[in-house]
Amino acid sequence: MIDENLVMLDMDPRQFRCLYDLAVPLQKPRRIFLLHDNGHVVKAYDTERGLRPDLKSPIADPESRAREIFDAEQGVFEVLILERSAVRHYFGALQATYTPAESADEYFDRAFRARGNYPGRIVKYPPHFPGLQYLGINWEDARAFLRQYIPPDSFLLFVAFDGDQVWMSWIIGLSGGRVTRVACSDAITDLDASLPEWRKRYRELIEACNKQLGPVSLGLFTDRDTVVQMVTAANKGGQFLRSMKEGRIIADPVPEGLKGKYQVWLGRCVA
Amino acid sequence: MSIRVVPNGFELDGELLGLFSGSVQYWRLERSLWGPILDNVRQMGFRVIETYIPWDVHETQPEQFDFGASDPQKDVGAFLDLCHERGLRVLVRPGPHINAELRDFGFPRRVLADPDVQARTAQGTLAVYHFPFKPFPVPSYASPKLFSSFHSFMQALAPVLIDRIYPRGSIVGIQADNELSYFFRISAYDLDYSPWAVKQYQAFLAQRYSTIENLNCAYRSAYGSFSEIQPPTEFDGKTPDRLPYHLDWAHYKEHQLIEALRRLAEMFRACGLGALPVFQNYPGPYTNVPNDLPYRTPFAVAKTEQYLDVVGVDSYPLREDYEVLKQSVQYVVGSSRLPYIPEFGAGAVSWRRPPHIEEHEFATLALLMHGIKAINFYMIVDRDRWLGSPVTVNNRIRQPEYGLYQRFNQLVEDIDFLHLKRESQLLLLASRDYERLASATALLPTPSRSLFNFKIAELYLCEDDLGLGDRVALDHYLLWKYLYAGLTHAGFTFDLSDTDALTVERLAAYPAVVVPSFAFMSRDAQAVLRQFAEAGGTLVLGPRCPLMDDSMWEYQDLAQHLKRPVERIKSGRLDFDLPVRQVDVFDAAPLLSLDGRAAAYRVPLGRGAIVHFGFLPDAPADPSSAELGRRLLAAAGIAPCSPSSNKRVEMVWHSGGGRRILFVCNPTAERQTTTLTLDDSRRLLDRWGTDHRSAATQHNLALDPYTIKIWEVLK
Repeated sequence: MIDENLVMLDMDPRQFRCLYDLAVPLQKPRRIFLLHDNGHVVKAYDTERGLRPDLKSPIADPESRAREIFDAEQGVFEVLILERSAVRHYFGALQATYTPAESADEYFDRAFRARGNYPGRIVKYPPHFPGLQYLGINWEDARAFLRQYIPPDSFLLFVAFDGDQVWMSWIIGLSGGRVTRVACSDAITDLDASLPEWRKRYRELIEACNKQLGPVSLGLFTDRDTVVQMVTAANKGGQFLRSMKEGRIIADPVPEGLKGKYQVWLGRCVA
Repeated sequence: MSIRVVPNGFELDGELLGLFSGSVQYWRLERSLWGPILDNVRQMGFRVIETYIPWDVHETQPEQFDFGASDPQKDVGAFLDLCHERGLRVLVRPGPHINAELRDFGFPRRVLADPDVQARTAQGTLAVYHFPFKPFPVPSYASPKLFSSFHSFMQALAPVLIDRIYPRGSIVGIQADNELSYFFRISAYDLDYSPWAVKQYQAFLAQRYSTIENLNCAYRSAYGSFSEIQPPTEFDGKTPDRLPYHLDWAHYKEHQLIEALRRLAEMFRACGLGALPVFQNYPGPYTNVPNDLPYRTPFAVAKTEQYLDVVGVDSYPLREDYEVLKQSVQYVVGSSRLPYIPEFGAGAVSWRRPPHIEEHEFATLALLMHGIKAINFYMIVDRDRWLGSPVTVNNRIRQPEYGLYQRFNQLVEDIDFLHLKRESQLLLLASRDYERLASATALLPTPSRSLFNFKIAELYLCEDDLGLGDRVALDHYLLWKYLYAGLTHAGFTFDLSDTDALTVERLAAYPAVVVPSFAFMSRDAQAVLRQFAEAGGTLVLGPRCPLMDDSMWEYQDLAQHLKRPVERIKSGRLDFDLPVRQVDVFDAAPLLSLDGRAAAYRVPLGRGAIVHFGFLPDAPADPSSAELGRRLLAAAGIAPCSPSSNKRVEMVWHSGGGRRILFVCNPTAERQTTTLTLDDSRRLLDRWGTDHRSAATQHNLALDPYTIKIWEVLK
């Protein structure tokens, strides 16, 4: 999905920070790690409390132990119990199966999923080893969405405003169905762009993109509050649909194949 | 005509050139914009720029090179000429590795695909670098084919460069490779196990031991020749006897990097570029890439400078990483002949959060405060896969970034920064021996960090004592951290280094040296430390007196001057209430005591002395550690020099040319107040802002979170 020659140009640091600060929590979640050799614990570490010699008793059943620790400790995000030989094997096996033809998406999706191939040896609680994700969306779902609904050579344009000011924007260029360009409004407007009465004038941005970069196939325009609500909602897809219904997001243009199908696609993502 | 490296820059025929520069990547910019972009760079006050010259961009087909004949955007000669016309000096970085977020990090793909170039892991697989857009197999820097392939490129490139070397042209320096580090995979048993690396390892052992008998003596083995020895693929040493074999592998990993750089520097000279100083930018130990690793090996700054002119370390910190940033600067100040950050983030790669301008301002001023003398801001002009530089790809000016660099360059001139010297009081060393042990016994391979999201130094450190009496890998790390915090919070100004390539001359610049010591220490390090004390310095060490060398044979150089403990006490509290563990007590006049018995003492040696403490602090490395730092250094006759009443506010003096500058820093997330007490009534002239103060002996100061003030102190 991501082209190896992806061009990332004209990225406004202020806009990028807005997204980053929203999506990536400043406070790192508390995690507890146990490393062991055949049940003999060689390291017990708590990201909040440091070394935990009190957790170094031998491990008989790693899954149960992970759950016990998770239940016993307050405010732990996850517990990882790793048998060191399994970690070594994991990296060895991953690299042994590398092929130059494999795309980065395929490689990383495989790499992340493969952590789940060592039951009882690479253990996480809560027990879940997802594959590659983009902002919480599975890579495969994102790829399927692009393939099914978005013309293979076009641009996606997402813009959120704070008053008149462009608060955050993404211009994503596709070529042959692969993402080949990522930019923000810097690519089509002045730095620190503003657009008074954007609800009436947003088409100016579409036209600028059409003219300077290429045809926009999907445009979404909204305001800062709506984005914040979506990103912070537990059910992001549901929040998106609600915002669409309430007219807080303007979708224009929309690819022919996608019209009326947001619900189907988002339902899949949420599921 | 000569270019010479001096402690504050390059000297061009005797004239000092300050190396405050910015990165510009010509091949990623419209050719027609080169001139106007360089004008804007000049307008920011820069006199030097830096550029990569990527191999893959210019070698379009095997042995076919384009330096502008086909694609004008690749006309590096024209770019260098435009720089020269504008009075801009240039540092060139031709690789072979350049990263720059380029596909395959700037290597031609055919080179990386060549089995005769590829590095191998301990499992015999390719070593895959997890680049987000396309993972690739990393090359071995022991591969002869890698060097011969790159030599072809350098032979083609050299004629373009030779005519443009100072004074005929703009080029004043050349970098060998980039962030050489096994592509950030530095743990001992990850790579490199390619046939060329194994051969080089065997040659390294032959060089180190001279005869196989000497090696057998160290390894307690019966090898017939060096070629029989295969490198370890995991740690299996449970006793001291077995450690030298593993320590040597960790040591070899340093050697491979140094040897590669030596070969590249030699190649540059052979290609006619010998007039240029050669430098390297190690990515560690303090960049954001491996800074979660608790050791400096395989990066050996001082040793590498035996073959290169300058070795710096790169830094991409956020303000929350102030300690990391400060340590990187203190480390190059204490280890390199020119304290240099060859890459200091200005903006960020396009998938990381770019710092706010306030964060960047704070970090930049912190570099000056802690004694850096050369910085390359990376990138000063945006490019593909980068954001947040002061000049965009189409030559638009991004404020307030642009203004910040103008102010910065003006400040350097206004206070004549290059001729100021930071008033350092002592040197804190880490032991290369124990860091090699930490690497050799590390509990996880380096790639674990990204795929399991580990960024925790202590997670890697072995907790076994391995028959050494202490958990050396872990305890060395914890003790060093405690000493660092103690000296900082006590208000000392100090430099950092390690026992790698230690010389008496390097130590002679300091009245005191502090170093953690455990059961063993290499003979060279012991000798240099002893000589330092004999020559008049004060050596502060502990908790143990080394009784063995790094081959784990009995060796008593320092030991012959130190006392043996009369008892080991598991835990207790020192006379000033510091909780300690594994305490050796001595029959001596106590400097520090546990229940009235000496837990630290001082012995005179030659014209100097050794202060030996026999315990490990059992407390967090926080402001409470200050008292230990103060007491240990008091025995050396050294008092903290910070005039701040609030030890969370750091103050560092710089002086020179009759001028005294005081940097005052609030590195915390809270507003801080403090009283600055001076020897005499003095005016403060704010050199960065407008907070001028009229004459007084005491000045009450309030500092916002993460801010630095720079005052010239005047009569």
